Parts: sequence; C-alpha cells; structure tokens
Amino acid sequence: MYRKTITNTFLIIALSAVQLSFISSLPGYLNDLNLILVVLVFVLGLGGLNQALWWAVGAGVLLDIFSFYPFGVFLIGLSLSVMAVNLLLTNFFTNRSLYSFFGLTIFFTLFYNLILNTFFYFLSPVGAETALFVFDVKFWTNLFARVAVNMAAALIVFYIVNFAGNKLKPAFLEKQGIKNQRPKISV
Amino acid sequence: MLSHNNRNYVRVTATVVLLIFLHFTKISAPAEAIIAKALSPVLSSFYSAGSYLRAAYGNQTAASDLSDEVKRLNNEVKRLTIENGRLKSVEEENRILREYLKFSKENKSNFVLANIVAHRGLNPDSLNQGVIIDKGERDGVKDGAAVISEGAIIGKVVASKDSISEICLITAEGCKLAAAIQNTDKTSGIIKGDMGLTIKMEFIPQTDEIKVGDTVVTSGLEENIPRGLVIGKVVKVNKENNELWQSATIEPLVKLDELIIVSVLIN
Repeated sequence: MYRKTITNTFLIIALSAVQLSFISSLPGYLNDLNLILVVLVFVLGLGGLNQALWWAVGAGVLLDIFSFYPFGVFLIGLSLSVMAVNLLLTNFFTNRSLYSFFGLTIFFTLFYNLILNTFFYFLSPVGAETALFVFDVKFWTNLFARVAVNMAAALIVFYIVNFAGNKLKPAFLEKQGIKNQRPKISV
Repeated sequence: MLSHNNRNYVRVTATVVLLIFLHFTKISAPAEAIIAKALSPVLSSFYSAGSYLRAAYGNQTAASDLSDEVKRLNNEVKRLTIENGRLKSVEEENRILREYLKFSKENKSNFVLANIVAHRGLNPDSLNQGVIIDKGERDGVKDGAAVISEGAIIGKVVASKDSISEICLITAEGCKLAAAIQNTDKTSGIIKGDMGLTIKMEFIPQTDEIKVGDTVVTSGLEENIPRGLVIGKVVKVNKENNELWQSATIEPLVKLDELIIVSVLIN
C-alpha cells in the first residue's frame, strides 16, 4: 500500500516537473503538448477513476504552486476534466482501443481548456470587458493544435503501454469443450 | 447509499476544497514553500535540457543565414572595437572628473541570481507570456524589479511569491517599459513587446530623428528600474509623412529563447 502510494507520488511529481519545465521550453508546436492530460487519460482508462482523480489532485496542486493564478485553478480544472471524461469512458468509450483513447484525449483536452479559459476569463481584470474567448478564432486554432499534439502523444503512449504490459492486449475467451472437440486432421 | 464512483467524487471534492482553504488561510504556505524550493533544482535541470533543444532547433533553422551573419558580425566587431576604445577614454575621464567633484559613491545595485524553471507561464493563451524563476520575496525580489542577462535588461518581475517569481519578457505582448533612444533628440517613451518576437516604441514625434542601429536604454522613469540599462537596438523605423507619430522596431540585445540564468536587481 505505502509502496504504491510512494510510487504514485513520485510519478506525479516527475510528470508535473516534465510538463512545467521541459515541455514548456520545447520549440515549435511541441510546447503545446500537455503530457499530464495524456497520462491522466491512460491512468483513467487502465487504473480507474479513483487513481486518476488522485493523480489529478496531485498534479493540480503542483501546477498551482508554480502558477500565478489564484490557487485551485489547475486543481479544479484537472479534477473536473477527469470527472467529465470518466462519464464518457463509462458510457461511450467502453473498450480500450486506440480509438477510444484518441476520443478521450480529444474530449479531455477540450474540457480542460474550456474550464481553464473560463477561469482565466473571469479572473482577468480586463476579462469582462473583452469578448468571450469562445468567439475568438485564435482560441480554437490553438486548441486544434493542442488536440493534434496530444493525440500524437497518446498514440506513442498507447504503443508503449501495449509493448510494456498486457493491459491493452485483446483477450479471447475460448470455450474449453469446443477446443477439445476440434476434429483432428490426418493426412 | 452512495455508489463507488460518487464516493470517489465526494472524497476528491472535499480534498480539493480543503487544499484551497488551507492555501487561502496560509496554513499550507510553509509546505508549499518547501515543495517549491525542493523542486526548483529539478525544474531548473529540466528547463536547461529543453532550452538546449530549443537553441539547437533555432540554430538549425538559422544555419542558412550563417554566411551573411558572419559578415555582419565582423563589421559589428570592428565598429565595437572603435567604440570600446573611445568609451574607455571617456570612462577614465569620468573617473577623474568624479574625483575632482568628490562625487558620492556610484549607485551600485545589488542583484540576486536566479534559475529559470518554466517558460511561457502555465497558460499558453495568456498575453503575459513570460518565465518563472526560482527566487521570490524571501530572496528580496519585488514586483517591478529589473531582470538582467548579459548586461542587458530582458524583462521585469510582474508577480512574486515566497520562493518563485514571474517575469514578463520584454518581447511579450503586454510587457511595457519606460525607455529612451540614445539619439540626438534623446527620445523617450514606452516600449512594449510585439508578438513575443520584437519590441516596439510607438508615439514618437515625427520631428525626432531616429536611425537604424540607435541603442535603446531604460529611461529610469520606472520605479525599481535604473536608468541606462541596455534594451536593444533599433532595427526599423516606421515613418509615414501623413501620420502624426512614428514608431520604431527594436531588437533585443539578448537571445531570450536561450536564457537559463538571469539576475534580478534588488535595492
């Protein structure tokens, strides 16, 4: 139990540190990548809601400590996004295929950016005087770029998980009786 | 009876509310400061690695312009050698004159060195795109303080916490500084970042004469930012006869993409 908690804590810290410092300093479209979201999708899909929520809380706290927005913006943004995506996972994307993870990544990125920008809009001193961000073309083009980059990352993570473990490998149920009744072919 | 999922939602919501409460009542402040301090070296290392990649990518794309750049730099070296010789004699003259006048000690500012731990802030859509450094109020950093690298000002502190601070880079949109052009008219005004790439000085009277290559420095009109810190050089003058004002595009002296360590002026 303690070992699992320590491992999870370490992984959350490492993930947040990579997102905060390494990815944000990368050139071009690479800094649009949000590895926290991609990893949270896989934690939700493979580890379950409980684990994903605690990962969201841990990563949210670390992002909030290093942000200059009111504390809780990232914490609430990540937690709400996990809850919303979990509804999609349990009702629509029920299998663990690559397409399911793509779908979840798209919706996670969408929910997260909408929630965060809503906070930023209302917290900004000039927010209420400017047009709502959803009417800004730049917001949607930026969001499209982020979704594309996150999907590329989801593809890589999917194959890494598939290669490293057997959680994503298809399982076939074979009826014992039928197997034994197979006719033997003799030449 | 709550379902398993609903129990999870309730537990996490309660935790989130508790964490926010502990933050705003400052109960968790020491723990947050410890976490920020403990993670700073790790974040700084990650940032250096990413910054190295970004610089390598930038050099790759700029390789085609290399021969032109060498020619330009050779000319610049010649010009600066001549200017250096002239300035050394002026410095000596200044020292002697100060001794004659028994001038009070020069204002020597103290500074604190800081590592950059994150780029662009955490909201990529924000206009105040800047960097986060690992020094804060505890180290004497104040809002509005000048941030320097390689002898030139690269931005100013816009927000500071206990052990981290946010800096707006001079090229970031929304970042403004009081500046002066070192021309015959001593033009002064406000510079502001332009699209995160260059700097602009607008509303300059048409009568002021500005040339490409003129040096732009801080004017000293801003609190916490001393006069004479080099910002960059004028690379383009936008002057239209039918306009009331002219504007100048300024290129920063320091490559802001390759920053890793900066110094913050503290008085």
